[in-house]
Amino acid sequence: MSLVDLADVHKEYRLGATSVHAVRGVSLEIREGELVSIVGPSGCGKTTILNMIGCIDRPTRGTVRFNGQDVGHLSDSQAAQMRLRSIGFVFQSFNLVPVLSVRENIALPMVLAGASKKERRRTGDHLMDAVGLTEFAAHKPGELSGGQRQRVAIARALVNSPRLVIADEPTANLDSETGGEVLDVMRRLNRDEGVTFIFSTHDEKILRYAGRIVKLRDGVIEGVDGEQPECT
Amino acid sequence: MYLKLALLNLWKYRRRVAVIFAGVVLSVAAMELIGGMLNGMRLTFFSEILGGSGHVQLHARGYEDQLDRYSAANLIEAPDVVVDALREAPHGERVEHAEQLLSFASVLGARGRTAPVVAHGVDPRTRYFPEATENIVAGSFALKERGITISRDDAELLRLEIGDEATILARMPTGVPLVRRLTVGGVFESDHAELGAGVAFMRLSDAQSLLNAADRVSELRVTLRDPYEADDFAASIEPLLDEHGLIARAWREIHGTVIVFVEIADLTAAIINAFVLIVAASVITNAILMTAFDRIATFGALRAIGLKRRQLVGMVVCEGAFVGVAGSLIGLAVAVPVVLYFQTHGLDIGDMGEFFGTSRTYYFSFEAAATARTFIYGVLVASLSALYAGWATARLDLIHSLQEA
Ligand SMILES: Nc1ncnc2c1ncn2[C@@H]1O[C@H](COP(=O)(O)OP(=O)(O)OP(=O)(O)O)[C@@H](O)[C@H]1O
Ligand SMILES: [Mg+2]
Repeated sequence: MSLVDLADVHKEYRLGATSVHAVRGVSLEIREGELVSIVGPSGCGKTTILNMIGCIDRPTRGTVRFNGQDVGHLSDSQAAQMRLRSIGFVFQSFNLVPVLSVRENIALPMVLAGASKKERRRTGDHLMDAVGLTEFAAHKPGELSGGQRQRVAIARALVNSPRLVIADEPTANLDSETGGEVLDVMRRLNRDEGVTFIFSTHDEKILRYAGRIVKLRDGVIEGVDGEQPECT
Repeated sequence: MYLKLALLNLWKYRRRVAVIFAGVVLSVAAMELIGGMLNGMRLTFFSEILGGSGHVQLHARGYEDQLDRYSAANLIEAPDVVVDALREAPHGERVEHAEQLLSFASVLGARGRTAPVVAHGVDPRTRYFPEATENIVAGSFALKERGITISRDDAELLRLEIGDEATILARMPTGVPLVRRLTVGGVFESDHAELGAGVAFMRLSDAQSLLNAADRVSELRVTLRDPYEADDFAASIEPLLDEHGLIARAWREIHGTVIVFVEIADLTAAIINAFVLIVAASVITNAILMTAFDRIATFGALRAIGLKRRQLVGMVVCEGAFVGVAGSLIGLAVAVPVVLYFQTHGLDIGDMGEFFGTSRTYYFSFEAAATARTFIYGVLVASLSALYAGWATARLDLIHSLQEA
């Protein structure tokens, strides 16, 4: 069974009298363990698609299934619960909590999920090690470089062991070298821990990290590069 | 960690938090001071004014229609019987004190000069008229037989000193004038409007024999254990009143104008408090809104990783409530000592005291329940402002919040 299943998904934003048809009939299937990249020029609808997959936004037409469940009709708090338990997010501008330390930022979703202090400590330490930030545990985000902050964000996204991590242009605010490092971390976690990743980018250079590349233009899928792994 | 997050956020926005904090401190302090002042006013009213007048006054029927309040034409017969009834069950347990009074208009004369005085025939150890009994400047109040205590103004006017003799002229209930010689035993000085010049005291028995009104009085003055029971008490003694041809006036009626002042002051305080709270609420709401809108991107991220709207509101309210509690405590820490200071030392309000019929020094009064209320108002105003700010941010579309980044 596919983890994510978009079937003829449309999204229209209404702005008063006018409306923007941001996504126009996208169908896409993502299997567990994949590392998928969505690529396309600015405004083509990447963020919109990722938001719908991540239960942040709802399609105006078509269905979005996550793990077999139609997530287009979840209530606000059901969606929040879904995001907390099953989906991790990495944002372009990191969006860490400035007043909390690296360790606390990473553990925050576990606090929301009601994990014990011991669990938080164990998972947090493991993830800090996995993203190579153990020595920065007590630092505030403001004291870190962009690449380090994005690695904190990745660790935070993973802390509740989600089925899927969504990263919207995770490298757009980074230079290509640190961007590469961040993607290396993602690829390693995908390979070693089997985490499913979807990330968007408009940077052709970083596409080599992806297992499969979905090309988007004007809200429509133009083509898909790479093989979809066989269902196991 | 929730609480820690709130505290850390407060620290991060310490400038704005200082505004919120100052808002809470100032409004709580203002409310506490106003409350202490007015509570003092209420207590002054009960102790000074009601202490002097008693809580219920009984007169012979027809008193309210008399042109001259101090005419001796309309007296209570057999007052002892009434007083005894008041001291017995079922009224006895509500009555703390009851006294007989015979007040009448008269003219005091000495050395060829005269002065009109209202003479009060009272028990030599009367509980009432504290403005006179507590402000003796010469001699003593302890009324001797055929003695009289007069005001300083009258003493000066008539050139009377302790031990001098004066003549008092009054009309008997029948209208026949009578004269008697009395010895000045005490002089009092009072800045009280109604108890200054033109007031004199003598023994009740002297007044009765002067007016040829043995065993008759013009008034029975009653103090109750609970002043708020006065109206109820007056109603409950109705049969007794009917039996003896009496009417009762409770303090609300006696002090109509003063009570209006007390009530106006209470109303004013309520309006000032409401105003203070509204101003504080708008300042605090704005400051909290600013700190919240600054963090829209962070809030968006928190919601994206699974923070529910409700929890977000809770977080902001938690911050507001914390400032509310701390600010209210500081506000009280500032204001309570001031109230306590004026409770012991008093505040000189000059001639305003005369206007209210109280003394020149005005004492505040600290009341724990009122202070607790003020504290709760302070916490509530901060929390509700935060609730509004939290709601205003949480209701934003999550997508828009994320796009703020
Ligand atoms: N909240 C919104 N309200 C109205 N229109 C929107 C909203 N979000 C996106 N759009 C519009 O929808 C279209 C797709 O936007 P989207 O953000 O998905 O593009 P994108 O591919 O992520 O672009 P970028 O590479 O610049 O991030 C754009 O034309 C955009 O203007
Ligand atoms: Mg985008």
